[in-house]
Amino acid sequence: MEQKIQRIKESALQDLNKAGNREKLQELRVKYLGKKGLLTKVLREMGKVPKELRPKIGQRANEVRQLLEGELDNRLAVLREKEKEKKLVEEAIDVTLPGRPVARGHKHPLTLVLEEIKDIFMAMGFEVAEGPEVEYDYYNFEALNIPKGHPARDMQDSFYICDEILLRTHTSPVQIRVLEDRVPELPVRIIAPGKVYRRDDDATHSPMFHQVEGLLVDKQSTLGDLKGILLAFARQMFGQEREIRLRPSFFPFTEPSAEVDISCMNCKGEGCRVCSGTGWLEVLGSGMVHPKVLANTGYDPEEVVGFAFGMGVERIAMLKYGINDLRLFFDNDVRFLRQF
Amino acid sequence: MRVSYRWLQEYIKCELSADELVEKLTMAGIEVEGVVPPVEGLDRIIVGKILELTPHPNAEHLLLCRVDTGSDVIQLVSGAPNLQTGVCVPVALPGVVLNGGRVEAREFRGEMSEGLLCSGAELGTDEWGYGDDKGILILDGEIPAGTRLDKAINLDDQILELELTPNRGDCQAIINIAREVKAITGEELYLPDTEVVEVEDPTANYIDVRIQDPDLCRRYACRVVRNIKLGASPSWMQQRLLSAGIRPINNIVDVTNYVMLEYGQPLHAFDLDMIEGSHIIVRRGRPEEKMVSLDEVTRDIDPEMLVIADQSEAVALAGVMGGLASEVTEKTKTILLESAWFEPINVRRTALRLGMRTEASKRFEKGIDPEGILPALNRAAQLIQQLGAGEITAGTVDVYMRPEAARIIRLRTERTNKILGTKLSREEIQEILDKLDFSCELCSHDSILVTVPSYRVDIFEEVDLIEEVARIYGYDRIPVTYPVGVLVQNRPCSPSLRDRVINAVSGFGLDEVLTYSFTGEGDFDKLRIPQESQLRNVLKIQNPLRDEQGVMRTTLLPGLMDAVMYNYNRKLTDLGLFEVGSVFIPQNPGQIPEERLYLGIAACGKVQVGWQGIEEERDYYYMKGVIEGIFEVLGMKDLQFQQYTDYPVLHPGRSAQILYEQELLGYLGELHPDVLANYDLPLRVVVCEVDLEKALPFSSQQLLFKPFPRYPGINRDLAVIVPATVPAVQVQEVIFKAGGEMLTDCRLFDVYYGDQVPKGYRSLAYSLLYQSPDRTLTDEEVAEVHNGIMDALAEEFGAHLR
Repeated sequence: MEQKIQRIKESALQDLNKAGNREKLQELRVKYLGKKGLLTKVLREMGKVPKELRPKIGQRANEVRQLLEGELDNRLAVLREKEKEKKLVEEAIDVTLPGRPVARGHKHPLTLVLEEIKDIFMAMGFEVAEGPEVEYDYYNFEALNIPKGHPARDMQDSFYICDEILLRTHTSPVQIRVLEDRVPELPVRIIAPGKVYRRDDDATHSPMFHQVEGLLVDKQSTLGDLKGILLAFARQMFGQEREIRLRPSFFPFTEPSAEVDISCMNCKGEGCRVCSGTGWLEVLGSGMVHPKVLANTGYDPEEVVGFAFGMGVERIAMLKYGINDLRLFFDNDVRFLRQF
Repeated sequence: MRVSYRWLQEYIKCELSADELVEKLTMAGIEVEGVVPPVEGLDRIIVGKILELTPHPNAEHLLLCRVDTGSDVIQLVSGAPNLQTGVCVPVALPGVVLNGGRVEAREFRGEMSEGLLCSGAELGTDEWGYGDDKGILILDGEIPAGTRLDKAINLDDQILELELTPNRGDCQAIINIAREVKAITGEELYLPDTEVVEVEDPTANYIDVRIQDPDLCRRYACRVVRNIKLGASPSWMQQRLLSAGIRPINNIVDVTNYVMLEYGQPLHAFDLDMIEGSHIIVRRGRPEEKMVSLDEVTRDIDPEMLVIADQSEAVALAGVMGGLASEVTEKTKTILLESAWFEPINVRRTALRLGMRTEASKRFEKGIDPEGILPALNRAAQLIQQLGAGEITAGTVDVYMRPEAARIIRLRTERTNKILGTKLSREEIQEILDKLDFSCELCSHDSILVTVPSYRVDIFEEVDLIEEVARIYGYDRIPVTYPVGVLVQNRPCSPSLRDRVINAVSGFGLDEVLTYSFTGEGDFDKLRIPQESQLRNVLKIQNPLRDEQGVMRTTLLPGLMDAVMYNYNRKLTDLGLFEVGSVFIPQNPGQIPEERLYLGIAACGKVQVGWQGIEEERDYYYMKGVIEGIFEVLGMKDLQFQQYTDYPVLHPGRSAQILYEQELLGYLGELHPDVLANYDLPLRVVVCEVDLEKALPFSSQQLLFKPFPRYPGINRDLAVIVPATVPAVQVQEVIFKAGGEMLTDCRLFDVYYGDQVPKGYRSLAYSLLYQSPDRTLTDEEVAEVHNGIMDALAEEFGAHLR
């Protein structure tokens, strides 16, 4: 009897090793362990075994049964793993074929730069304000301390609708409109992005372009604060290692006034073609709001102070993206637009 | 303003290199655009000495020159007739660029020439007094061979090109630039003395001056010079004029220009014999008055222009240009030298109106120093006398109508620091002002009473002084600080409608364009916009750059079509372009227009969906999907689209107006074939335009969450055959009406014309969803409603099931 069990065990293990697939394994399970299986059959013949041997034989048979069950399960797991691996291999695709295109549109690079400028200043507590593109002479010039006949009007050759109305030549009139609107509220912290127009059309001038104006008016604010805000802007826009330099300049609506240069990102300030060898790039005009401007809008210049700045968005975008031709912005060539 | 550094150094002892000075001036607000030599390229030419001249063996008119170049002896071939052994000549060696060409060693009839001998014309030194028409420039005296030519002929000066801001009119004078340099460097200033040697012959016997319009001329001074000997001015003076970009003419004119550069005071010389009645009258122009100016153009004078006149007529346009009749000529015996102050705005207006911005008008219009009038006049008289060009009569005639009171401004220390963010003491501030020659008197513990020098015509008020303090102190020394203040109380800006729309449309795969806000009226014709359309009521620009940009746009279509055409012409035909920008709607005359924010889209060609050649047409339905998507982003579902058959811009069968809650928002559709033909475009283009301002009130509605059903729904499909003329939207309306509350969704999934559908009919297939918020529906209930819908469709449209 014991020998019989031993033979069953050996033959079963042999069969198991040969079994190449799951169906075969199932057959073997039935053949040896099923209701009519060989091992089951042997156990049914226990009656023929002398009583004193029965426990031992029974134990032996159970051991074999457990062994075979264990082996069957192991074998099954191995086969499953193999089948899975085979399937994975069969399912392999050429991952280098192109993906299915997703309709991706593109914002205009000037929109992108404007968004970034707005983000930077909004995080510093500035609001976004807008004003009309077709503006009264009063807002565009007079209220900004540029009376008729002022030589500063030469700096900005204008498109006129009539004597008193023109296409705004800068975003500065928004300063006046906002201050008039808010007086005597404090603080006033705004940036005003928008289109501006000058009567100029050549390789480096477009009759329409974009500016962002900034204005902060409060009980306290200094030229030092202006430097701080502009340094923070320059670093967020062009990289943390940027420095700024303020040079005295003249704008009728600010005093003291300053041109603001940032250290050239191309050569790190050492001087190159981009910065004409100076190491500095002129990007902004700025200054302390002129007392006359404050007075024109109803604020008392003895009580409040402020600073203002303005920048050309095209200039910033050209520096940021390395665009070398102003005309690209308004040609609307999709080979240009789709790069952003 | 071009400033010779050598000339400048005559008034200020400044040892800085030009580059160092440029840096300092720039940081003090006098921007220097560049530093250039008087004549370009002379630093690359060397002086050579001719050791030997022999005839060229193979050419009759050429010479072989053995030339010492300092480091070498070379052979040059030249045909110049004026060469002699032993003279010094300019040599351009191989590699030097001369007049745009590169000098090379080359053979002339078998003899090598290792460079070129140069003439004054080739070098550009003719007008500087070096060179004539006789041939090669022969240099005077003994110059060591190998010397750089610019050094050898004293043209190694550096010219600073100043880019002056409009307020610093005073810096159009070299002595005032010297004053700036003094303030920056602290070096000593040497101003020319202006003593005049006069003859005993009172000026008042020659001339009498009357200012009729003192509002435009506060001061008029003059001197008389007799026994004029007209000739060329000395070369040092000519060179200085040339360095400033002014062409020498004769000694008298050159002196007036020289003093203008030196003092910033424009002067004018009249032929006194041409001044009728020996009277100078400063007055406004008379109606119909005319004058021929120095440039031989007849000028129309208007009654707002100030003129200098004699007894009968205008002899000069005040501050702008003299008259031809009183020009100083060979025949002139006596001259009247004018030095005056004219009102800036009026001079500017006259100059602009007559289109003649002159060196004089550029100075007058920025304001000149009324106290500087006599020094400049005397300086000119002194120079004329020293040059031997004439005799100066005794005294000046000086009519000073409105003498300027000294400008005294109170400057507060605290105010200065409050604006600059500095901690300057009153003494430090005073020290800075001293450097600028502003005289200071301490008043209260905080303040200084500052007397402004008369030449600083840009300083009127306290803040002007604060700027002076800041720029001399140095902007770079002002500490970086950050604003302190209350935090923002209301959110600075939620995404604006513009931003939301741009985000949505670009998200749907379209590319944003930016086009000019001006357009041409011709574009309206091209687009077939009807004559009576409101769009043709436009704001006209008085002075456009070109007719095609003559009016402010009332529609975004012309710009979008330009963008389409630009790309089409470059074979880029799969386009989805959009713009968000303002259109301009005229209001009453004298009022600014209403600006409305529009969205415009133009699309054509195909959208690539996959790389296996799957493409979708950009047609009406593409555009409609984009628009529905945009408005969904804005929280506006259930737009209505009404067939739009009578707009000549659009294809009458493929266009619709877009409405939301009865409000007309815009239109979409294919461009009319005739419009496409006008553009010569063989593609279909689908466009849309939406007035975003009209959508704004709806788009900002509060968004509210709606709970979704917790019980499963039941799907049923429905395909009905209806007359093809019945719009799908009507079929859907009937379905919803008959479906009642239980029908929660109805989606069209197929439109079919073909075999099983009779002609004139079409099959519409819908997927319907039945659902209840409070229970699971049974098949029976759903079947009842579904049948009800079919009955309703049959009744309404004679529809039957497919």
